[in-house]
Amino acid sequence: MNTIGFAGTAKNTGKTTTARFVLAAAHRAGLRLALTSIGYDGENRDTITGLPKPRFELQPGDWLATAEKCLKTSTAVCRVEAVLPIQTILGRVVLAQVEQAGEVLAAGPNRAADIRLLLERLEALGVDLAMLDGALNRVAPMNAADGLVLATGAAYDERIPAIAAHAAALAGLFQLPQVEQTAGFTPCPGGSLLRGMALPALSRGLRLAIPGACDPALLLELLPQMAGGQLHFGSPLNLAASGSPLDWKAVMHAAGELQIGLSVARSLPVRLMTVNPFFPHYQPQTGAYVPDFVPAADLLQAVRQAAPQLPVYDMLQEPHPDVLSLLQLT
Amino acid sequence: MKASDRIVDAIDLETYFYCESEEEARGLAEQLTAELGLPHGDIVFLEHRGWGARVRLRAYMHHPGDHYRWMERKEGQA
Amino acid sequence: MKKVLLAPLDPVHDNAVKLLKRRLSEAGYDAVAMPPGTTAEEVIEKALQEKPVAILISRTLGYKVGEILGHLVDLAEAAGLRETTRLGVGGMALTQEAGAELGFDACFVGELKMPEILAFLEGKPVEAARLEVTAARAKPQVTEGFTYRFNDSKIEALLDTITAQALHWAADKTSAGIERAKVRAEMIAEGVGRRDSEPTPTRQALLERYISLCDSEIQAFYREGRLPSGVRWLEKSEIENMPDFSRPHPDFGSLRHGDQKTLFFSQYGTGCPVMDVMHIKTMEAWGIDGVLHFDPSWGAQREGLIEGYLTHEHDGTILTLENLSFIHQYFEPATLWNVRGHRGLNTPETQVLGRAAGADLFKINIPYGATGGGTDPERLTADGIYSVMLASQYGIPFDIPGNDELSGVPPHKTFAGILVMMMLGLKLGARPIPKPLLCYSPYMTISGQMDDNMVDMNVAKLLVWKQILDTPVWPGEPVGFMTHSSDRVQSAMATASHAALASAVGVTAATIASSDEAYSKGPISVPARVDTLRAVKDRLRFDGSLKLTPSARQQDLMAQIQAGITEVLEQAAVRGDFVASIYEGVFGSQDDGLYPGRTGRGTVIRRA
Repeated sequence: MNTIGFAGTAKNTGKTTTARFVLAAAHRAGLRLALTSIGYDGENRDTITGLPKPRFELQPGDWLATAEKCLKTSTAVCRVEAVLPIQTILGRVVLAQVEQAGEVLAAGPNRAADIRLLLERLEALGVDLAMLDGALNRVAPMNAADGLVLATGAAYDERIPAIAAHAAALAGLFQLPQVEQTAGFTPCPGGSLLRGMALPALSRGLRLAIPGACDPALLLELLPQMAGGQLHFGSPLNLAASGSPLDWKAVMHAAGELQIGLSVARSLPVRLMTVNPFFPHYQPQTGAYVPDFVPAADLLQAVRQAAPQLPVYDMLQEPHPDVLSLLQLT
Repeated sequence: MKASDRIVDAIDLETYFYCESEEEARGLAEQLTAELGLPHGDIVFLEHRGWGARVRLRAYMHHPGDHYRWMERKEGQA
Repeated sequence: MKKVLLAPLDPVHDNAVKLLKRRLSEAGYDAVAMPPGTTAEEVIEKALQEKPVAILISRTLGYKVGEILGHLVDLAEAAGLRETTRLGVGGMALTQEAGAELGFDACFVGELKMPEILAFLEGKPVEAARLEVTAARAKPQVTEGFTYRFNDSKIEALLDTITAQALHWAADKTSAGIERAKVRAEMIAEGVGRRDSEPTPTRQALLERYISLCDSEIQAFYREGRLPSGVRWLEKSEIENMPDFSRPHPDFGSLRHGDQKTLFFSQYGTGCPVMDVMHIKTMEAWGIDGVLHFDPSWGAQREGLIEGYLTHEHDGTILTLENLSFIHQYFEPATLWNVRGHRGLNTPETQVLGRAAGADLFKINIPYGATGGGTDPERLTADGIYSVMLASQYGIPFDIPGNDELSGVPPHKTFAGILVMMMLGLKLGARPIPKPLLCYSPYMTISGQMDDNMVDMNVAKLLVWKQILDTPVWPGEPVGFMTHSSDRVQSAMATASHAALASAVGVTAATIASSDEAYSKGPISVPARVDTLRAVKDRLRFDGSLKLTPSARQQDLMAQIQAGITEVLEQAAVRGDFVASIYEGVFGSQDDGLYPGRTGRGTVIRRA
């Protein structure tokens, strides 16, 4: 089974649109697939801006993991296979198989531990592709995925150069080498390196493991004390969850200068990056949001140039990519 | 001149929807402003309790700083 | 002691956090509060040090705020906190769906509800705490704890004389109204009291007897199926397609704040039982304690009542066993129900139907019904006394509205009439409740007694009762009569001011209007009801446990009213004929704007 996570840099960056493309391609290819969300996805309107949103449509045989309450509001007819021991705000998560095609509301487990539990069940059911739809800018629960689709766009920032710089820095986190061996590393107290917490004794050449959260600005201040050493993080997603990729870019640069090696215990590949020129434009006079766009071609070109190592697409611009081969599902 | 031109700033619509949740009430409120053709309708107040929701909807006809149509002189007036 | 971390995640506001800290400390938690302007990083750092069972975030949701909250959840995940520490969020504009999207374990929507928070902290399902149904709330007893002992022995003695005469007069009287009530009670006892009851010989015989006691218009209904104008049958589909009001819902709470005791009632009677149910359910949701059924005024002027599921296109919902039972089945268990019994020519039968449908309270006032209500004094005295006997027999308290004041009668005359009704009730073993008006009556306008303020006279009208006897007092009907305009804000505020005054005086109950009270071209609307209830609740919150101690002026007014009552009762006692006293205007004369009723004149029968 392959698990693909769809993560975004902000709300409205096109996670769901990209996931819908993958869903359609997977249906055409006859893959046995499952859908869930680490948030709440598939509603007609954005819960914050009130603007219309795309919805997921599932076909007979597809699996869906969603909160009990959401199953009732889906137009797809589903058969409940199991009620999972996973509690969410909207009720317990159920595992259901679609019997009649229709739109669905996905609101599944939102913690990595619960997601892993769900993925084990899906694997046992013979699912080929498990799709984990993201929420807002949340990435940490995607640690359970095998590969990622990253969505960015004007909803993150309306300035194209800022989107591109951020995208490149984010992509850079996923290029840190994976080193599974943790022997010989000094563990950071509490597993995380944050301000106000007890700091490890720093020394030149220290090999320090920070599996949890880490404040990049704090780290940048501490780096000179451990020149020539090694920093071993949990995952690129933990770094992304801990601070801005731009701050991490500064850390990587400084580490290079100080000859400090950087690695992660578990990495995962970014298979595709998508860009979305849309942003909700707030109108202070009416207090409402209206759809607005940055120039689509300029955005696509800027991000492609900034992250040349990744396939970058705007899913609403021709030509469309062969998403299944990009995701290595063929 | 339309009567709506003479609205100084806003039109409020007070009502009560029979509905199951606040979310449903919001959807109905948005739908109602569209049905009535109110521009940029917004929900000023919404409280759902039990079996329905008390709602106040608002549409601004004139924002401060707009061109105020209610100041336009009627035809034939000096 | 379990530790909870509280953080505003807001640049300025932390009132919700401070309040929650106090409440959690009172509930035995170690609540650690962070200052406003705290960042997500600082919250997670603190959580890693303090190891709380939960982090509760307070923040109003807006554009880009989602990302800030999402970042906090992500950071908690990255720091490995989510296995041990649960995340909750509360604040304006949040919904359960938004909370799920943000990745929180719980989301607290709307005002602070401690049972939900505590359930969350104890790892229990929040949903269940949210849906704790009101079933636990017991139905209040309006007359409980009152001895009805008189403090004014002079008034007591006068009432004894007047009522002895009235009861003696009524002892050998009957009427078509009383006889119909007996037939209806028998039909109900035999299980054939409904239109769709099996047409057994028993039903047919009883119905024939009933019809023989009705006037021609009602006979035409039973014999030819002819409906009064503006009335139609309720469709079967309308009865069957009612919404499911039995589904669990949060405890709606009451209008009261803190130790306040006054129960609040509101009237309904849109004409249609289906619409009535929607109105009642809405009022329950916004905190009403009880409701009063109002039927069309023509129900008082015909000999006989019609039957079946009926809807009416004008004010007032037709009083039938079917309609009453249909409406009552949807009530919350704790909601009190008053079925207005003083219905002119059908007063006794109304008690029979009300009791069969499950009424908790009745309403009977002979002096008012025989003047302002338009029924002949002799007829209503006979029927009214029989009705009080029924109330006693059924164990159902009855209230006595003093609405004759609205015609221009001064309060002491109205109150004298109410006291006669109370003594009749007490002698017959019933539990009466006086209902003085809190209003800006014509008498007050003319006499100028409310020129300065509306508080002094109203307080005197409420507190004078305690000086006369130990009784519940229930100002009505509704409070604020003639102070309402058709402006919604003014109207809701007028009701709230009167309701707050009633509560501060400590009365047992009060009937409140809707903010549509002064609008006469159509029924009250549901939004108007909600607005008034919200206004009253807010005003009661504002006053809290404030108590009103009567001022010198108020005590003076009370003494004047009490002396006036004594004087009226003396006149009635001297007259020695209760019925004649009403005809002759002792309890309110033609000069006061009150005329004896004419409906049913000459219909009292002397039993052999």
